[in-house]
Amino acid sequence: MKDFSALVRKVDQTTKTSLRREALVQYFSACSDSDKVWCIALFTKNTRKRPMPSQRLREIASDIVNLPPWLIDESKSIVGDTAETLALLLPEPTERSYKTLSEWMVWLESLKALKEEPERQEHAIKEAWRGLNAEERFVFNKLITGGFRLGIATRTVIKALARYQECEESQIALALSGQWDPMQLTFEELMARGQGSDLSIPYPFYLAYPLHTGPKANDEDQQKALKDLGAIADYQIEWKWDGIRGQLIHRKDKVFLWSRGSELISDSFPDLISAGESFNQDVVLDGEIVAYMDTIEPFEQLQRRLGRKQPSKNMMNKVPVRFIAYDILEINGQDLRKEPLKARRNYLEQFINQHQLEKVMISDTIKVNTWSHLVGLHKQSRQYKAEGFMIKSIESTYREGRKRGDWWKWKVNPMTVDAVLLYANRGSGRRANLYSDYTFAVWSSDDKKTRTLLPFAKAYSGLTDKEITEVDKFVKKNTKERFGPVRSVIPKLVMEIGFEDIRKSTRHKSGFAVRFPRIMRWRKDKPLDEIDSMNRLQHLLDDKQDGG
Amino acid sequence: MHSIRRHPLLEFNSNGIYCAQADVYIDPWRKVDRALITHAHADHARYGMKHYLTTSGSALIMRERIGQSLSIETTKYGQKHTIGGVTFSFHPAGHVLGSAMIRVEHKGEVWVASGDYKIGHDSFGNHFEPIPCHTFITESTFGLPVFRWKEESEVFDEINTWWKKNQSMGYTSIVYAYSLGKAQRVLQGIDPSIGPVVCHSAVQKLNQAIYSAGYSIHSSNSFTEWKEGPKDTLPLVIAPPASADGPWMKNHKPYVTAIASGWMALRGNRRRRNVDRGFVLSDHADWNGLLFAIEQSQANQVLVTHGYSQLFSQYLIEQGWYAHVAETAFSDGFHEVEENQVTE
Repeated sequence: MKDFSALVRKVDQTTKTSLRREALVQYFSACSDSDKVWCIALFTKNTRKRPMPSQRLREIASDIVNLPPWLIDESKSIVGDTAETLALLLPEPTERSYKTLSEWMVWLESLKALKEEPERQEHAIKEAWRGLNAEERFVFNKLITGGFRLGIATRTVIKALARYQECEESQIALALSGQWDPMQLTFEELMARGQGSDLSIPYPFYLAYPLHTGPKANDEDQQKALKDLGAIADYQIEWKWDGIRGQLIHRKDKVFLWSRGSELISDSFPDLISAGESFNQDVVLDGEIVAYMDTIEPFEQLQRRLGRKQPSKNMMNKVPVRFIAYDILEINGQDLRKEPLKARRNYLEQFINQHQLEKVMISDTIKVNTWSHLVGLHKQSRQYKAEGFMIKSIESTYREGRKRGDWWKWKVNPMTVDAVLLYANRGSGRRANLYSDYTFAVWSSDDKKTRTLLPFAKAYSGLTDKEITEVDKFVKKNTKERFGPVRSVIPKLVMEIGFEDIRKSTRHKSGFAVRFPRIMRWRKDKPLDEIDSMNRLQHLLDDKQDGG
Repeated sequence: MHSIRRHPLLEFNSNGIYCAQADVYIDPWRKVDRALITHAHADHARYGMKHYLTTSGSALIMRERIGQSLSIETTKYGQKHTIGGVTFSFHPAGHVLGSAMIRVEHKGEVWVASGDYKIGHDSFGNHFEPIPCHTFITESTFGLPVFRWKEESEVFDEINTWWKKNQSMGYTSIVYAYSLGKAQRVLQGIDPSIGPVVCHSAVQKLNQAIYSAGYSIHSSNSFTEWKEGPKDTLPLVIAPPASADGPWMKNHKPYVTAIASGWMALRGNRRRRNVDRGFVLSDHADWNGLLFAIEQSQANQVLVTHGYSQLFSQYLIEQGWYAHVAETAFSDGFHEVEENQVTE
C-alpha cells in the first residue's frame, strides 16, 4: 500500500500529464503483477461496488476521533469527500501494516462478506486505520467509499502501460476494453486480451468532435465551420440518432453487445443478440441502439429497456429495438480500422444487403450537394427524430477515443428557457466547498398576481470557474434557508438553461422532465420579472410533437 | 460619582468592534476617529481613520502599504494606554510581523480582542502569548477539526526537497505566498544554500522596508536583480497569489508552482487553483490551536468571528463554554466567500 499511496501522491502533486505518466511507469516497473492489475483497474474502471456506505464510515470514525457526528458531517460537506475528511481527522497510526494493494483488495472483499456483522466490520476497519499513515488512509478510505477518481485519465494509464510493455498503445487500449475482473485475471492474461485472447473484446470507440466551438454558436459560426471543412463531396454525412452507441460482435458463433461505456449489455437486448446470431460471417459493427416502432422512438422509450436484464416478451414487444449500423470494424477476423471510411462503407453495405435483417439496419447517408443545403436540412433534425448530423471524412480511419480532425458531430441547438436560481448545493471534488449545483425555477403562469416560482431543472455545468465563484458568493450572501447542504436563495440570478428534450412527467413538481439540462449563459441583463413561465415549457413540448 | 455602563466593554456595531467607554474602535471597517489596529493585513488595517494606535511593526507596514502620512501612534508589546478610563495594551499574537491581541481592561473586567493569531514560534520570530481574560474574542478561520498543522520545520523540509528536485529536473520553483507575513516566513524558513530566492515586487518592497527597519531577514533578489545576475542555479520565486498567470512568469519558464497556505490542507482547494503543489503553511491557529488559546484565556465568555464561526461556537457550547457568534463584516457567509483571498 505504501508504494501505491506514494503513486497516488505523485500523480496528485503535479498538473503535468507527462510527470503523471512517468510516475505510473515507475510504479509498474517496481510493483508485483497482481498490484499492476489492481492499479489499472482502479484508475480505469468505474463500476466497482463500494463495500460500505460513506455515512457508516464516518460513524465508525466519530467513535475514534472523539468528535460529535454532526461536526464530522459538516466537515465532510466542506471538504467534499468522506475519504479525505477522515484521513485528516484520524489520529496517527500506532502500528505498521505491510499489506500490498492487492492484499488490501482481497481484504475488502472479505469486508463485504461481513455485511451481516456490523460489529466485526467496524472492528476490522478500526484495526486497519491503526496501521496506516495519513496518506495511506486516504487511499484506503477511497477504496472503501468507491469512486476512485483521482484525476488520472485512462489515456494516461494506456500510454504508461504501452511504454512499460514496449508495445503499441492501441494494443493496450484493446486489452483494457470491455469487461474484465481484476479478481480473476493475471497481468499476463490481461495483456493477452490485446492480442485476441478474448472473443468478446470490443474495439475502443472512435468519437466525433463537436463541429462548432461552443453551445452559443449561431448560424453564421456554423456555416463558417462547415465551409472550413472543405468540399462536401469529401464527407459522408449521416443523421446522429438519439439512442446509445454500441458494438455488435459476432465471433466464432458467439455474439456480444457492448455499450460505449465498455459495458456488456447482451442480457438487456436478447432480440439484438438473436439477430446477431443469424449472421453467417464473423463481424464487428459499430452503431446505435434505438427504440423503433414504425420509426425511431424517443430516447425515453429506449430507457425502459436499459439496465433491465432478461426483459419479458411483453417488454420486447412493447419497446422493440433496432441496431443502426454506422461502421464495420472487423470482418472474418480482419481488423478494418486502418481502411479508409469509403472502403469500410462498401464492406458495411455489402454485409447489410447480404443479410437483410429487420433488426440490423444501415445508417443512411445524406446526399446533398452544398453545405447550405445541409444547413436547411439541419433545422429539421428534430422532425427526423435525429439530434443533428455526423460528418465524417471519407478518407478517415477508425481511431480511438475523441480526436479532432476527421469526424465531426453537429448537434441541433438545445431548447432553451430563462429561469431563476432557487436552490444551491455544495459540489464535490474540484468544486468542494463551492455552491456549484443548482436548481432552477420558472413562473407557474403568466398571471403576475397569482404566479409562483416552480422548480423545473437541476443544472451543474456550463459556468466558468470564475462564474461559479461569483454565484457561490451570491449564494452565501443571499441565503434564505438552509436544509443540510442545500440553501434556498433569494430568486435573483437569471440563467438561460438549455436541454436536449422535454417530456411530461408525473415525478416532477413542474410536470415536465428535461434531458441533459445545463447552463447556456448567465442572463445578467434579464430581471426576475421577465423569466419564462410554464407556458414556455408547454410550447416547447407542443412544438416537438407537431414536428413529429 | 459612578457612571453606570450600559454597554458591554466591547460591542460589534456597523463600524467595527467598539469600546463605548473610550470611544475607540478595534480594526474598524468604516471611517472613524480613533482606531486600534491588531495587525496590518488589509482586512484589519484600513485606510481612512483619523488616528491609529498600533504596534511599531504594524505601523511600519501600514505606512508602506496605505501611506506614509497616516497619523499613527505606536506602542510596544505590554505598554499600557489609558483612554477614557479604559486601559488598552497590545500583546504578541504570533500571526504576522507586529500582530497583536488587544487587551482591554475597565474596572477589573478584562476583554481580549485577538485579531488573527497563531500558536507557537515561527521562522520569522512571531510568537503567541496567552492573556487571561473574562471575554475572549477569537477568530475561527480554520475552526474545523480537519485543519491540523504539521510542525513548521516539516513543511520547510518539504519545500526544500521540492525545490531541489525541481532544480534537478530543470524547473524553476514558484511559491505563491501572501506578500505580508507568509512570504517573509517562507524566505526565512527555507534553506538559502539551495539557491537564490527571487521575490515579486510586491513582496520585495515589503522585505526591504522590514529590513530597513532593523528586522533580521534573509536577502532576496528582485526580478531585475535576478535578470542581470548570474544564473547557475534555478531559483525559488516568491510571489503573491494574485500575481499568478501574470506576464512576469514567462521569464521563469519552465516552472512548477505551489501555494503556501492553510487552505492547501484540502485537495479540492489545491486542484481548483491548478497548482502543482500545496504546502500547508498557515499564519492562523489550526483547530487544536484555537482550542488551546481559548483554554489558556480562562475566559467565561467566548465570542467567535471570522471563519467557521457558526460551527465552531456550536462545538464550544457543547463542550461547556459560554460562546456565541459575533457578527462582523466578516461573519460566516461573507468570510467563507473570501477565504481564498483572506490574509493568511
